[in-house]
Amino acid sequence: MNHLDIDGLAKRYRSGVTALNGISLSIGPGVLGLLGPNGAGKSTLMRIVATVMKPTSGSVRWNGTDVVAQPGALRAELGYLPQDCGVYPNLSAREFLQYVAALKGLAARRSAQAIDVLLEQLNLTAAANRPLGGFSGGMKQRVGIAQALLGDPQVAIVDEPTVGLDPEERARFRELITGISGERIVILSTHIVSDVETIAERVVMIAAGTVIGDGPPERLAAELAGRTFEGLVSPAELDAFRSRYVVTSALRRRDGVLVRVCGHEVPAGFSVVAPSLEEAYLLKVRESRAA
Amino acid sequence: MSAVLAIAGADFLERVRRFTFLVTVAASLYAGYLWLPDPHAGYATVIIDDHRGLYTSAFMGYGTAILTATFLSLIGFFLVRGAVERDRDLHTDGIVGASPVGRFAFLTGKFLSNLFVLCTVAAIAFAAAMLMQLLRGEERSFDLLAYLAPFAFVTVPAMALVAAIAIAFDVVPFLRGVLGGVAYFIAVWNPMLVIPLATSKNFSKPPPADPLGMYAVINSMHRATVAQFPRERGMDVDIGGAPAVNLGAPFIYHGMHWTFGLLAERAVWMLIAFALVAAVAPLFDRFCRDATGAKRERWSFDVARLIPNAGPLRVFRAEFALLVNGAGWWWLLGAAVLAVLTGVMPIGNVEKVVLPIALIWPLERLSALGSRERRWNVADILNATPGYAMSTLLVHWMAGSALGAGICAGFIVRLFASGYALGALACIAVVAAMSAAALAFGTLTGARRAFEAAYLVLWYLGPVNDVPQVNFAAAPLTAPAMLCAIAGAVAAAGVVTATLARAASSRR
Repeated sequence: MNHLDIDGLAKRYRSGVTALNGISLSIGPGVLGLLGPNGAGKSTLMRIVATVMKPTSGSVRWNGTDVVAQPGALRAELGYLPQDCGVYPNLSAREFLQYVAALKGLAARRSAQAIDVLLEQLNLTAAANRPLGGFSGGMKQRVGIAQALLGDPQVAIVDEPTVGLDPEERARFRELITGISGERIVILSTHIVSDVETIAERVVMIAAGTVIGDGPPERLAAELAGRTFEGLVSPAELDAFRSRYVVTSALRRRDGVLVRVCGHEVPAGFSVVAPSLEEAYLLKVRESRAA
Repeated sequence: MSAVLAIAGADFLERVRRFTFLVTVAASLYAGYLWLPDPHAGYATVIIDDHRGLYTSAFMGYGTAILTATFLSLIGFFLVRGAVERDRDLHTDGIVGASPVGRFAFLTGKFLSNLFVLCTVAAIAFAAAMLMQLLRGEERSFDLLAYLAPFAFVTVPAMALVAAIAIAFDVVPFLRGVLGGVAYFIAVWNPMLVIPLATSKNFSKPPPADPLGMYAVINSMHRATVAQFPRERGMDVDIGGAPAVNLGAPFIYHGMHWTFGLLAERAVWMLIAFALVAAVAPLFDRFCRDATGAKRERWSFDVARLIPNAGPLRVFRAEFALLVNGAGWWWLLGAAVLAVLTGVMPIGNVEKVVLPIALIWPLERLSALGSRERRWNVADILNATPGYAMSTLLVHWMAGSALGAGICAGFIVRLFASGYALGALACIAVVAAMSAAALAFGTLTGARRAFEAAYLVLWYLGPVNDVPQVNFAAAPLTAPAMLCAIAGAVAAAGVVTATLARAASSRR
């Protein structure tokens, strides 16, 4: 069974910024969602695992082989979508994917079929022969996703894959990822909680280069059981309310503002509700900042 | 191998589908037209012992090989350099970095792409030569082999060398920028061209090395001329465009006899090109950021702080900061030293040494004018701001001019102080023209290399080699009024061109 082991991974830049602070994770097949605020260290972690950046210390092992020392062991089975993935603007989507297929060492016939399938799955068939320079941001992102999934990689690392996608395309992407997991490892980073809570079997929350939460999404949400409350306040009270509680949502209605908060005590007039993963995430990030 | 070809193919297609490549193709056709002028045009490009060549297929073919060896080896370098850096600019570096493709395979693919681009441009020049033979009509019999042989044996190895050197300059960190362009021009291209001819003792003995194949072709033409006109001494060869006055009957050239030794010599240069790519491959970081990560903040001095941050000067100050910030301490120190030296050194030394250096020093900063908005992808943000009008281009130009004038400050002050105001104005006009030309080239092409290449050639001919018509370092003292007029016209044309190009691009 495929296994990726991250042990004591740290990354410190020359400027003195610490991006990762000794992260350890053991990752098996399935979809792992990385959640964290901007600047938490998600992309640094993914770059290191994708072998395009070297850590200051620590190791990444793919089925026992240290990929920091021997990156080739993982690269042969890797699909990677960088956060700021680019394309050659004067190539068509098909030509670009053919190029990436050759970089990955895929045979021409096999890759031609795979490219057709991916173009279809990502709703790009009609635009496949148009220059990429004329594509919208969302379309380019889908080409980026296609190149990452090309060649049936055993490890797919996708950094902020749903940026720029409309709701329909996001749903299509989630279906695609669900379909390809199984014996493969898919690591998906995002700060959009709904992207991971439906498809990830495991969610790792990161803040300031440290793991602050790790487990199945329902268990992470359940950790907050009995600490999430909902109630109605007047619009005038809302600001004062925000200063006393961790407000996770505020929905304006005719009769006031329906507020959900997290905390250790029940605000007057509020009732206990089932917590969501987003609330668990927000609370953990707040607590880590306070710490 | 398929990965190498795929890298070469994708990179080649990406480049030849750009509008700028179409411009290059048009320029190649025009160069081919100019290189093979009408017999009564009043000039000839290859003159040997006062004879020009009859326009046979062999003369046209081998003559075009000389054209590509001399000019395409220079312009072509600037055309193809940056093949590796482009993946960083287009953010495709992460995809390459995470793929299993090796360093040498990737660089070989990029090298082949460079070679394909250069050979395509050269092939167009050869096609133009074929057409010119038919148009000029001096010799009707057409020999395709007389075109193919010089293309294959002279041009392709020469272009392979240029393609490989461009890869090496992309990979070695300190050669990636403008410094690399200057280094190639002075330390690589010039010796490759000059040394074989200079060391052949007027064709009496072969040179130690002939990387571009120039000596072999010219020597062959020379022997053909001497054989047909034995009374001539056979010492004078003029390449590049000289007045065709009092020329004798044209010599008839039938081409080179390619011996095994000659072919082996050309093949060796191909191998050297491949070896160069292999040699620099270990230096290629494979787009992998090392454990040290981002660069350490280096010492710098914010020169723009010297400009008041108030009123209409605010935009100028910001533009000046964009030009200067990011320059290394060594660059700022060099600029300051030059500003002082141009004012205190003996005037003869200033004109011949210090001022030429002062006129190349700002090239690295000025060549970004007009293109940095596209490069850093901020054009749309800027276009949407109310303050970013066409008049901002004028501020770009003024900031560039001020930077250039600052580096020559000592010279300008000195001329003003000695009552030679026209000379001082001429010097200011020169840097204003340089800034405007950079702005125009940058706005038109969206890149900095076109200006770098064009300015380097002009600077090399004028301030360095003292070609009187273009020596804009000497003219403030010798012909200030004419320099003021010409540089002023160039500055105005540059600003107008940049304005029109910006207006056209904002409408797209």
